[in-house]
Amino acid sequence: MKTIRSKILFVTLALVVLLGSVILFLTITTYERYKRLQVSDCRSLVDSSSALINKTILQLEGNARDLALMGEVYYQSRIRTPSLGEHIVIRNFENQRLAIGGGIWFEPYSVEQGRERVCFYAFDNGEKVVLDPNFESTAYYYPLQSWYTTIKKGATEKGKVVWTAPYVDEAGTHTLMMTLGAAIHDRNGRFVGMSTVDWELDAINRSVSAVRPTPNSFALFADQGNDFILVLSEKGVKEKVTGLSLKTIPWFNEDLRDGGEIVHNGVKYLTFFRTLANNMIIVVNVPEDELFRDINENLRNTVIVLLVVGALIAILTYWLLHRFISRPIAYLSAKAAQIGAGDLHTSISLDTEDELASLAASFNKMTVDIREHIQNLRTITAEKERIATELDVAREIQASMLPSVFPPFPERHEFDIYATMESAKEVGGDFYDLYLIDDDHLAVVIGDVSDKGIPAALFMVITKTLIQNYAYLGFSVSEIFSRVNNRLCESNEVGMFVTAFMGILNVRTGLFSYVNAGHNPPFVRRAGGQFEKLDVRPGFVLAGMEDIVYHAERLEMAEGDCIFMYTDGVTEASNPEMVFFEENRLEKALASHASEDMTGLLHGVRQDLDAFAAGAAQHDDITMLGLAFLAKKTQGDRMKEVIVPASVDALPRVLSFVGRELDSSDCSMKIRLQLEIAVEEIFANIAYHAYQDAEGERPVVVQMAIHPDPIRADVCFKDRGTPYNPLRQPDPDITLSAEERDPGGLGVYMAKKSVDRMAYEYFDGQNVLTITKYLL
Amino acid sequence: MEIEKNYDGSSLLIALTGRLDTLSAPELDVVIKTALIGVKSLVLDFSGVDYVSSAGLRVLLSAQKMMNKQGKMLIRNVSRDIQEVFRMTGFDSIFTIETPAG
Repeated sequence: MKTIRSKILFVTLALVVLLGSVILFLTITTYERYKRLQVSDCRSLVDSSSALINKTILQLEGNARDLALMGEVYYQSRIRTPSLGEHIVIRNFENQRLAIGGGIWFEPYSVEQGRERVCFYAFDNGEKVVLDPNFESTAYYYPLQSWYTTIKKGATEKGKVVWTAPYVDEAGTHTLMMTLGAAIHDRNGRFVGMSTVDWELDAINRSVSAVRPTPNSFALFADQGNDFILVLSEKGVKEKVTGLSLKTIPWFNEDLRDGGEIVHNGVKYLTFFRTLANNMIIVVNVPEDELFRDINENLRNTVIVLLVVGALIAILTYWLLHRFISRPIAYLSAKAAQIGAGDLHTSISLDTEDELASLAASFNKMTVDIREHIQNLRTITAEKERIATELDVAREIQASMLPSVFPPFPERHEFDIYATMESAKEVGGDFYDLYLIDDDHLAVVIGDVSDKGIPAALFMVITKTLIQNYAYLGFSVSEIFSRVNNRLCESNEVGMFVTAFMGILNVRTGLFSYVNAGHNPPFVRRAGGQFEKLDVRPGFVLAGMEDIVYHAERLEMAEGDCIFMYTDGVTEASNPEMVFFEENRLEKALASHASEDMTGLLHGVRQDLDAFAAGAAQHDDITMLGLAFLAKKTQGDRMKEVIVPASVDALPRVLSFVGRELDSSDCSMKIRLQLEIAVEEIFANIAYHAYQDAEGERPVVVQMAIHPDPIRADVCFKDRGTPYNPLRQPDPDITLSAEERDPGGLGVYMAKKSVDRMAYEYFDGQNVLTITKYLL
Repeated sequence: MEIEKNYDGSSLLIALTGRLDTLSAPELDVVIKTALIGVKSLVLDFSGVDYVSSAGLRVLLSAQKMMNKQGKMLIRNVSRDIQEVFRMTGFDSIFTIETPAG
């Protein structure tokens, strides 16, 4: 149970228990104090009773001594008249009324010769103190009475008071009484008589019996010296039992002490024990239950009230908290769940003004906000989807721009080529290109625009198209890059640039001329050897700055050589630890797949790259192009060649050579005428200009081949004269008047206009100009 | 290349037969430069010409320039292929050309 409700319940209960514990502790402390107070009350009561009895005993003893002194005065005086003795005892008795009677008694014949018994005894007859005259003559012979012998025996020294055992007076009142007395001595200290005081115990007994702190309390008053119970006020026991021995009382034992406890007849008693003078004791037993009944009841009531009030407080607190916190929260929770389930039109209303109400208000605001947000999101998402769709289309367009059908030239067996590009984003800035400029020249391009996304893709399209255009115009690689660079710079407002590497392979000779614009140098593998980085002049990037001069370099590819081009997406692919793939790993990957064809090589590198990346996200486009030179183009059967001196005189031979070759095709006179014009113009140009300063041999090689499908004629002119690219000669302005026209430059222009393609390269010390004419 | 000249007062008719190419053009150049003195009207008959190269065009251009100073020049009976060469090189707007009927 982790609900707020259960927590509230728990806290409430804990509070009530804590509070109850404190109150209970205080109550119990008070209870104990009340108990002590109650006990102390009892003790005071017992104390006052005991003090009263004790005082009586002491007074009686003092009285006995006084009376003995006056007896001595009487005995030693000369006039021992009876009236003096009577006066003494009456007067004494009048002074104190604790005793019922008292007197002085002399030894037989000690006072007068011939007079055996001399005694004076006074008592209270109920009205006044009177003298009892009977003791001198009656049969009651006092010297042999037990009380006389006891006192005479015990009173061994002056002032000592002797008590008799309790007895029932048979001579007078017949009540239980005790006699105490002291010795009377003559001048020589000889015992001559005694004083006695008779103490009737009834009054004492009554006051002892009255010591009853609770109704069922009972008291015991005993003469311990004589093992004699004077009174026992226990209910159910005969009232004022006397004469019994203490030993017969079952609860009375030696361990009995003041403040102790006894259990008698199954009831627990608190015992108050007092020892009085003359070895007398008072024991008061108070039933504990009775004594503490009131405060026990109070305690019980307090506890009950506490429990009830505590429970009420707990219930009330719980109900209030539940009403004001738990229930609104549950309500809020249910509403929030409703909102969470998508019902955004839910409104929460709490009729309070506390924090929960502001929470509810926040919820309402949130609902409205979410509703608006979702509306916005819907619009944005629709927009994003539209953009995403357009991006997809853009990617498809881009992908379709890159040659993606392999092998691209199934009929060509001179080379093996394969290329892949994988964009990091929807549309990337990488590109590659490959195309045959003519039958003999295969162009390969790889590049990387310095950005990603649509802008980079657009820039890449421009770059790729420009390169292709200039390549088809027959320019050399360095010229292509110089021109493309200037064209890109003209319209590069956003400051993008392109790194690119381009090569043109002459499949007839294996010559690979290439140019680099800040791109990663490719790897080259010589037949049977290892992949090695191609030593390339770095060159400046395209679109970076106008009028950059790019330098072409050359590589003679033998059959079986291959070249691997790539973008930095390969070497900078990283694994989850952000370690780059690097050139050394690329080199190893290339080495381990060196025996495979280009498709296998690129796939192998890609697999090694994926294994290295271990699922890490691709950050850059990954583009690779592999080109293997398999075999030099075979010189076709229809390839013919004539070598003539560079002189216009040789023109008829050249023209007749070309004419002969053309005879084998069914071309129209018009086409024949156009081809003748081109051949004548080019040859005349070579004859007039190529070997201007040279001496000796001035050979011109004219080669011609007819290719089918579509049928066309290639005518190639080679001379070892001054390097000269006729394609760079500006075209004449043909709109000028006769006087303004410059007769120069017309021949090349006519030749160019008369054929379908004209290409120039300078290779191996030769100007090589090739024209192509479609024969249909 | 055959070159046939027919004077008629200050008019000169030159009938050409064969190829007006790199080899034959210098020949025509010499003929024209010597024959055009005092000529006010030059007519070149191209009915026998089946080929004109840039060298030929240059000779024709220099003839046109001379005739612009002293009279007029007409090229007639130009075949379709030659006409095409003139058009390609912009000479059709410089020369006065008469194409064969039909």
